Amino acid sequence: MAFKSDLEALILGVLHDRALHGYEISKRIKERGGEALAVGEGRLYPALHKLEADGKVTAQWEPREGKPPRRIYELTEAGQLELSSQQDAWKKFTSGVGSILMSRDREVSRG
Amino acid sequence: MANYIDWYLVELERRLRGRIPAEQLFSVTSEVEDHLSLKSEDLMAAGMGLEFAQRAAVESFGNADSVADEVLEEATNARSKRLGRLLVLGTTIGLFVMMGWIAFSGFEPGLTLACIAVAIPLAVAFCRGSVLAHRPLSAHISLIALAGTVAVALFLPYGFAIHNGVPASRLWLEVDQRMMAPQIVRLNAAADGLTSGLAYYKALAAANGDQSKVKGRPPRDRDGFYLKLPQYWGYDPGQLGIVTTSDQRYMTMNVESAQESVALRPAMDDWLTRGPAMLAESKRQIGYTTAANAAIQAALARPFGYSRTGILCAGAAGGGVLLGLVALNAASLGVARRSRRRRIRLPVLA
Repeated sequence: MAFKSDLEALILGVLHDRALHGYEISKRIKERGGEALAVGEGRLYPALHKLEADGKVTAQWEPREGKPPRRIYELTEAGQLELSSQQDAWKKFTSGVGSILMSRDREVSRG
Repeated sequence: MANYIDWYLVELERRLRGRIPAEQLFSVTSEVEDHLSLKSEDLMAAGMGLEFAQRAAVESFGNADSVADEVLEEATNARSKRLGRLLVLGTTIGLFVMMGWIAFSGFEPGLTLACIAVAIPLAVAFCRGSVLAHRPLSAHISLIALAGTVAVALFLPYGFAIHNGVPASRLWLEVDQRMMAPQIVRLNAAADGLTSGLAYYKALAAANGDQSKVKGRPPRDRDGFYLKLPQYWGYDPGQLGIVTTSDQRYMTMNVESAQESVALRPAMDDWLTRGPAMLAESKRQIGYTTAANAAIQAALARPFGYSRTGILCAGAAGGGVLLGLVALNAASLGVARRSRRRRIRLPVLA
């Protein structure tokens, strides 16, 4: 994971399904992405707070019986839009890179 | 038995305390504690001992220094954004007010207006900023925005002031058809310094009896001189006018240098000596100087144009931007308020 914006996109992606708390978000990213998307867990919360400040996620404190409350994050409408735009950008990027890499593969196999 | 999670939380809190609002500190440490506890529980479920599980959870979270740095960076960026937005909003309000002022009062912004233009954005930024932008305020972006605000707010009135100063080396005449007099010639000659020209005409006025004034509009009710001493931007010029009520015609002159006054003196003397007989000459001058004035205006090509309509258009554009920014700001404040309300409902704080 090289860029903060990537982390934010991943967070938006895992929050797309349902509202989650921080640790669950981190776990889901790890489960889905494996080691390729190993996120420094400590970087997760500043990124979540930024998304919240930007209005892309909202956070609610969920009270728990006999335990401290837990903060649950949920995607907002702005977050949905951002996720869609990130998905589009990613599709363009991968198709662009793919077409270049694959064409080289084809040339190599022809040669 | 060492409790690594508690130790980590103490370290993290020590690095953040006093640098972010208490509310945010509570939120961050609560979330980190929850995260580390859940992680260590997962690791223990996988067969690890408590101490090792806590240690592994802490290690995978990252060291307290870097986590604190990330939190502080994010908090500072958020505040900078808010403060920057407020400064932009304030600047826009300031410029809008100033343009309105210029549009309805003429082309002499002056120092007072410049001060207002600077004061408005600062007041907006610091009044609203003190509520929304908690410590620390001195992020680089905020300082750049502040410097930009002051520069822009100072530039515009200065630009208009230059308008008075630019024709310094030439004559600038304006025919004002809106005045009651059918033909009015305003002759401005601006340059550095002001001494002998004004003194000369003051003496001349005194020699011609009690017909001089030091303030207000040119007298319409009698022939003679009037003297006006307005404060211009960085100058202390004088303005001299000669009024001839017989044909409701007057001529004013800003005299700011000895050279210019020497150059203009014959023209003024002509007015004095020949009076109404100067009509033909003034018509010729009006024709000549109007063309010259148009050429000067074209050459100056000021950003907001010369005409009142131009300034009104710029003001309207400024108003549009202002409304957009107000909407943006309101949305931002709404988010912040909702966020605060949620935090206030925290059961643990109740």
